[in-house]
Amino acid sequence: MSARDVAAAVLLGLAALVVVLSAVGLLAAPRGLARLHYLAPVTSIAGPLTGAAYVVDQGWGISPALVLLIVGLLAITGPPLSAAIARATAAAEDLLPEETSSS
Amino acid sequence: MTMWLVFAGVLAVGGLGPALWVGARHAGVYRLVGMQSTSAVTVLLLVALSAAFGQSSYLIVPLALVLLAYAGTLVYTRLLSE
Repeated sequence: MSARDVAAAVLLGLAALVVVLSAVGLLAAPRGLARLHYLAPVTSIAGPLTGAAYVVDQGWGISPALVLLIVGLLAITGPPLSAAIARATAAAEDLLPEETSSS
Repeated sequence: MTMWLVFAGVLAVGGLGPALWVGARHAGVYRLVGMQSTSAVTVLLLVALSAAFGQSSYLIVPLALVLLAYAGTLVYTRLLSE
Protein backbone atom coordinates (compact mmCIF):
# COMPACT_ATOMS: atom_id res chain seq x y z
CA MET A 1 0.00 0.00 0.00
CA SER A 2 1.58 3.24 -1.15
CA ALA A 3 1.58 6.57 0.65
CA ARG A 4 -1.01 7.81 -1.85
CA ASP A 5 -3.36 4.95 -0.93
CA VAL A 6 -2.90 5.64 2.76
CA ALA A 7 -3.63 9.35 2.28
CA ALA A 8 -6.77 8.57 0.27
CA ALA A 9 -7.93 6.06 2.88
CA VAL A 10 -7.40 8.58 5.68
CA LEU A 11 -9.37 11.24 3.79
CA LEU A 12 -12.18 8.79 3.07
CA GLY A 13 -12.21 7.66 6.69
CA LEU A 14 -12.54 11.24 7.89
CA ALA A 15 -15.34 11.89 5.39
CA ALA A 16 -17.18 8.75 6.52
CA LEU A 17 -16.74 9.79 10.16
CA VAL A 18 -18.21 13.23 9.47
CA VAL A 19 -21.20 11.74 7.63
CA VAL A 20 -21.92 9.19 10.37
CA LEU A 21 -21.57 11.73 13.20
CA SER A 22 -23.85 14.13 11.34
CA ALA A 23 -26.40 11.35 10.89
CA VAL A 24 -26.25 10.54 14.61
CA GLY A 25 -26.74 14.22 15.43
CA LEU A 26 -29.62 14.39 12.97
CA LEU A 27 -31.34 11.51 14.74
CA ALA A 28 -30.61 12.81 18.24
CA ALA A 29 -31.65 16.43 17.68
CA PRO A 30 -35.26 17.45 18.24
CA ARG A 31 -37.26 18.10 15.11
CA GLY A 32 -37.25 21.61 13.70
CA LEU A 33 -34.49 24.17 13.41
CA ALA A 34 -31.97 22.29 15.58
CA ARG A 35 -31.59 19.58 12.95
CA LEU A 36 -30.38 22.06 10.36
CA HIS A 37 -27.00 22.26 12.10
CA TYR A 38 -26.21 18.72 11.03
CA LEU A 39 -26.57 19.34 7.30
CA ALA A 40 -23.56 21.61 6.91
CA PRO A 41 -20.84 19.11 7.92
CA VAL A 42 -21.90 16.74 5.13
CA THR A 43 -21.89 19.36 2.39
CA SER A 44 -19.01 21.53 3.62
CA ILE A 45 -16.60 18.99 5.14
CA ALA A 46 -17.38 15.44 4.00
CA GLY A 47 -17.89 16.53 0.38
CA PRO A 48 -14.52 18.28 -0.04
CA LEU A 49 -12.79 15.44 1.85
CA THR A 50 -14.30 12.96 -0.61
CA GLY A 51 -13.18 15.09 -3.54
CA ALA A 52 -9.68 15.35 -2.12
CA ALA A 53 -9.57 11.58 -1.64
CA TYR A 54 -10.63 11.07 -5.25
CA VAL A 55 -7.91 13.40 -6.51
CA VAL A 56 -5.27 11.75 -4.33
CA ASP A 57 -6.40 8.28 -5.42
CA GLN A 58 -6.87 8.89 -9.15
CA GLY A 59 -4.44 11.74 -9.83
CA TRP A 60 -5.21 14.80 -11.95
CA GLY A 61 -7.49 14.54 -14.97
CA ILE A 62 -10.99 15.15 -16.28
CA SER A 63 -12.70 12.80 -13.83
CA PRO A 64 -11.14 14.31 -10.67
CA ALA A 65 -11.98 17.77 -12.03
CA LEU A 66 -15.59 16.65 -12.46
CA VAL A 67 -15.64 15.28 -8.91
CA LEU A 68 -14.25 18.58 -7.60
CA LEU A 69 -17.00 20.37 -9.53
CA ILE A 70 -19.62 18.09 -7.96
CA VAL A 71 -18.40 18.53 -4.38
CA GLY A 72 -17.91 22.25 -5.03
CA LEU A 73 -21.53 22.57 -6.16
CA LEU A 74 -22.58 20.54 -3.14
CA ALA A 75 -20.71 22.91 -0.81
CA ILE A 76 -22.04 26.02 -2.55
CA THR A 77 -25.68 24.94 -2.69
CA GLY A 78 -25.79 23.64 0.88
CA PRO A 79 -26.06 26.94 2.81
CA PRO A 80 -28.83 28.48 0.64
CA LEU A 81 -30.84 25.29 0.97
CA SER A 82 -30.36 25.28 4.74
CA ALA A 83 -31.51 28.90 4.85
CA ALA A 84 -34.58 28.11 2.74
CA ILE A 85 -35.47 25.12 4.92
CA ALA A 86 -34.93 27.20 8.05
CA ARG A 87 -37.29 29.85 6.72
CA ALA A 88 -39.95 27.28 5.83
CA THR A 89 -39.61 25.66 9.27
CA ALA A 90 -39.77 29.01 11.03
CA ALA A 91 -42.88 29.93 9.05
CA ALA A 92 -44.51 26.64 10.04
CA GLU A 93 -43.77 27.32 13.71
CA ASP A 94 -44.88 30.98 13.50
CA LEU A 95 -41.42 32.23 14.39
CA LEU A 96 -41.17 34.78 11.57
CA PRO A 97 -41.90 38.46 12.17
CA GLU A 98 -45.31 39.54 10.88
CA GLU A 99 -44.01 41.70 8.00
CA THR A 100 -41.87 38.89 6.51
CA SER A 101 -44.14 35.89 7.07
CA SER A 102 -46.13 36.38 3.85
CA SER A 103 -43.17 36.75 1.42
CA MET B 1 -13.07 -4.99 -1.70
CA THR B 2 -11.76 -1.52 -2.39
CA MET B 3 -11.76 1.34 0.09
CA TRP B 4 -14.30 3.14 -2.10
CA LEU B 5 -16.72 0.25 -1.77
CA VAL B 6 -16.27 0.26 2.00
CA PHE B 7 -16.83 4.01 2.01
CA ALA B 8 -19.99 3.58 -0.07
CA GLY B 9 -21.27 0.95 2.34
CA VAL B 10 -20.64 3.17 5.36
CA LEU B 11 -22.44 6.05 3.64
CA ALA B 12 -25.39 3.85 2.70
CA VAL B 13 -25.84 2.43 6.19
CA GLY B 14 -24.58 5.19 8.46
CA GLY B 15 -25.60 8.22 6.42
CA LEU B 16 -28.40 7.38 4.02
CA GLY B 17 -30.38 5.24 6.44
CA PRO B 18 -30.77 7.88 9.17
CA ALA B 19 -31.44 10.58 6.56
CA LEU B 20 -34.27 8.53 5.05
CA TRP B 21 -35.62 7.88 8.54
CA VAL B 22 -35.69 11.61 9.34
CA GLY B 23 -37.24 12.32 5.96
CA ALA B 24 -40.07 9.89 6.55
CA ARG B 25 -41.35 11.18 9.90
CA HIS B 26 -43.38 14.15 11.15
CA ALA B 27 -45.15 16.78 9.06
CA GLY B 28 -44.06 17.81 5.58
CA VAL B 29 -41.91 20.80 6.44
CA TYR B 30 -39.92 18.81 9.01
CA ARG B 31 -39.10 16.20 6.38
CA LEU B 32 -37.16 18.73 4.30
CA VAL B 33 -34.08 18.31 6.51
CA GLY B 34 -34.11 14.59 5.85
CA MET B 35 -34.58 15.16 2.13
CA GLN B 36 -31.66 17.56 1.97
CA SER B 37 -29.47 15.20 3.96
CA THR B 38 -30.51 12.30 1.73
CA SER B 39 -29.57 14.29 -1.38
CA ALA B 40 -26.15 15.28 -0.05
CA VAL B 41 -25.25 11.77 1.12
CA THR B 42 -26.52 10.23 -2.13
CA VAL B 43 -24.28 12.53 -4.17
CA LEU B 44 -21.24 11.37 -2.21
CA LEU B 45 -22.43 7.75 -2.41
CA LEU B 46 -22.70 7.92 -6.21
CA VAL B 47 -19.23 9.45 -6.48
CA ALA B 48 -17.89 6.62 -4.31
CA LEU B 49 -19.63 3.97 -6.42
CA SER B 50 -18.23 5.53 -9.59
CA ALA B 51 -14.73 5.30 -8.14
CA ALA B 52 -15.33 1.78 -6.80
CA PHE B 53 -16.42 0.44 -10.18
CA GLY B 54 -13.83 2.45 -12.13
CA GLN B 55 -16.49 3.99 -14.36
CA SER B 56 -15.92 7.73 -14.61
CA SER B 57 -18.93 8.07 -16.93
CA TYR B 58 -21.15 7.35 -13.93
CA LEU B 59 -20.17 10.77 -12.53
CA ILE B 60 -22.80 12.44 -14.69
CA VAL B 61 -25.43 11.05 -12.30
CA PRO B 62 -24.24 12.82 -9.11
CA LEU B 63 -23.57 15.97 -11.17
CA ALA B 64 -27.18 15.98 -12.36
CA LEU B 65 -28.43 15.07 -8.88
CA VAL B 66 -26.65 17.93 -7.11
CA LEU B 67 -28.23 20.43 -9.49
CA LEU B 68 -31.70 18.88 -9.49
CA ALA B 69 -31.68 18.46 -5.71
CA TYR B 70 -30.93 22.16 -5.31
CA ALA B 71 -33.85 23.22 -7.49
CA GLY B 72 -36.15 20.52 -6.15
CA THR B 73 -35.55 21.35 -2.50
CA LEU B 74 -36.18 25.04 -3.17
CA VAL B 75 -39.48 24.14 -4.86
CA TYR B 76 -40.50 22.01 -1.88
CA THR B 77 -39.64 24.74 0.62
CA ARG B 78 -41.74 27.18 -1.37
CA LEU B 79 -44.71 24.84 -1.66
CA LEU B 80 -44.65 23.66 1.95
CA SER B 81 -44.34 27.16 3.41
CA GLU B 82 -47.51 28.40 1.66
